[in-house]
Order: sequence, then C-alpha cells, then structure tokens
Amino acid sequence: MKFFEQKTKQAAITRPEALVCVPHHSSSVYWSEREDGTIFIEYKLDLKPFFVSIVRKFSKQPERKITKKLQLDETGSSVWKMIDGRNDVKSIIKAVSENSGLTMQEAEISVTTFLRELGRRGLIQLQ
Amino acid sequence: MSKANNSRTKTLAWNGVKLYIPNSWDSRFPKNQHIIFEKDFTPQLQLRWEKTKRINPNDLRKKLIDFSNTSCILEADTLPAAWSEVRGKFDLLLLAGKDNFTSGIFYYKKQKLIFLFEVLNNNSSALKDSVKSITSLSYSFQSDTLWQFQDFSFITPYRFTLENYSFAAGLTHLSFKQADLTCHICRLGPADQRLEQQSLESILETLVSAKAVLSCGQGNDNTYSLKREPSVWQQIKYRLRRQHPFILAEIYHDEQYNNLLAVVLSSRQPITIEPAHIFKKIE
Repeated sequence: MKFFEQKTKQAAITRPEALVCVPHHSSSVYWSEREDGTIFIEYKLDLKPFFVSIVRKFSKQPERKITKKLQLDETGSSVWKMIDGRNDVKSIIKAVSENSGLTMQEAEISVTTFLRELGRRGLIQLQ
Repeated sequence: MSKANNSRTKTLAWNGVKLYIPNSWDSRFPKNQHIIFEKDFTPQLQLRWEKTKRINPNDLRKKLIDFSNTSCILEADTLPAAWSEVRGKFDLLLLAGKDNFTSGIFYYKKQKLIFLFEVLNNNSSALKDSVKSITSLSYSFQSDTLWQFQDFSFITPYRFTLENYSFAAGLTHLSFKQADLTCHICRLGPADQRLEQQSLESILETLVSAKAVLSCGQGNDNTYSLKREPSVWQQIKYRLRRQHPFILAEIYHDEQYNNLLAVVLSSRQPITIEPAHIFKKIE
C-alpha cells in the first residue's frame, strides 16, 4: 500500500563528491547587482497547495505570485557571482580563502554552509 | 604559521604531536588524536595516536591489520629503504599494505604511545613528503604543550586536557580542563572587520559573558584584560548557581595575522596561571 511505503532516503553526498560539484543559478530566480556591488535576489516562494487553495477560496483579490527578496552581503555577493555553471565548489572555496584572508578550512565551512542555504531556498542547483 | 627548518615546510602541533609538513598541505582534525593532511583537498596522510597501558608486538600487529584492512605486514628488519629514517627514530615500526606499504604503526615504548598512519596518496612525491613528515614527528611528554595550526600558536600548561574544539568561519575555539580550571582559547578573524564594529573591550566582555566583573585593565592598544575575584559570600552565591566564581580573561590583537586571540580562564579557586604565558611568541 502506498501509505505504508517507506520513503527512500537519498544517499548522502560525500565530501570529495561535493567539492567537484558545479553550482548554477536556478532559472526561476531573478537577481541584480546593485551599485555597491551587493546582489539583490527575488524568488518565488513555493507554498504548499493546501495553503494556496485556502487563499484562493477566501481571497477576493486576483491571485498573485508571492515572492521573497534577499540581499546578500559582500562575501555572499562575491560567491554568488562565482556561481556561473563553470566554477566547481573547490575553486569557489579557494577564491574566497584568497580574497578574504580566511584559512582553507574556514573558507570551506563558510562556503558550504552558504551554498547549502541557497540550495535549501531553491536558488541554486548542483551538477 | 612559522616556517620550520626550511622554507618548504611549516610546523604543525596538535595535542602533543609536533611535526613539519609541506607548506602546500592543510590539516583537518576529525578527533582529538586524529589528523588528516590534505593538498588541494586531496587527502595525503592521516595520523592517529593513542595511549596504551601495555605494548605487545602481537597486539600492535593485530591493530595494524584492523587499521589497514590487510594481513600483509613488513617487520621492522625488512622495511624498504625509504622508511629507514623513520625506523631509526621510533621503538618499533611495522608497515602494511596490499600493493604498496602505505600504512604503518610505531610506538614510543617508554611513554606507551602508539601511532598509526596511512599514506592516502600513492604518488611518489606524496609518499616522500609523508615519510619526511613522519620522520620529523615528536611528542611532548610531561611538559607544556605547543599548539600550532592555521595561523596562530599557543602553549598550554602541562596537564591541560583538550575537552572540545570547533572550527567556524572566523572563529576557532578550543576548551581545556585541568582539575577545577577551565580554559577557553579563541581565535577570531579578521580583526580589522570586527574592530570596526566593536571595541576590544566589548568583544572580550561578549566572550566572557559574565556579570559583575570587578576589575579590568588595558595593557596597551593591542591587549585588554578582565578579572573577577569575588568575596567569600559572592563565591558561595556563584557556586550555588554552579558557576565558576573566579574569572581571568585576556584578548590580544595580532596585527601580523589580522586576528584576535582570546583566552578565558575560570575556576572555583583563585587562578594562578598568567594568560600572557599561553600566547607567548613561538620562534
């Protein structure tokens, strides 16, 4: 029965595999660079169909897209610009380490945490 | 990090172990007594050590077999020439491996300390660098312990035991314990960005997060210290709240490496250790 089917867990990606992945921006994301060099991102918020149906039922106004806006800081903006579908995670970490003066270990923690958060919000995909 | 005997190597010291590694190597610390060396994110060498009550050659062979997942072992008198220097330095060296002998075990008999290592990159230059690094290994017994990694170094007094550590972007934190005394050592970077937003004083107060500091002082522009030495009644209050009544903390601005180095000592007894000794310059 489908109800009792166990959800198959995706195999966790190993560290070496993660380092050679190439991130790229999701096609549904709109972003622009501001005058100060920081990145401004606007993306559609995916709501569960249950809540969308409730809003549709009770709202008299026409349905509009719900978007979320995000502004990245200097370091986040530089990482975002390096996500171009050509740089793998390893080269992004090296570049951040050189530019910001962090050690490789610190840069790795910082970049991977940032990429994980971008992935969680659906802003990037990994190849 | 200071360069060692030549410009191609640097010193790494972690939890009693000190060795010289190539400048291109980075180090990761999965556990208190486990180091993995990497070059360009490719693992090169891993090193583990442990104390043991008895040294029995047969137990060492079994340990090596379990570690290397092979039963092919080279005894001490049949080692390849490349390992002769390592063999001469330690009390026993055994190697193991399927095609190449890249795993090994050696020990310090007097101190009852076993080291297990595995060369993770099979190319000849990595093997050569690994052999040189292992040959340079030394361990501090019953003396102050040098810690040198990333871009800072410090010395912990004898009998300080590493309890916990964490590495985050811009914040490295280690905590030590010796009887009643707890010692937290932090490295915060980059210092220029942090000092733009907060003063040295407020950064240290945030780290200490203790109220009722009785005295504070600024040694010079680059250091700041805080102290708490409560009266007997206040000590009883702190103890009832399960807090350490005595606190001694110092923070230094390392301009050379653009870091802030902080040490926070707390204890139920008056603190006799001088924080300045912990961050004294390592030559």
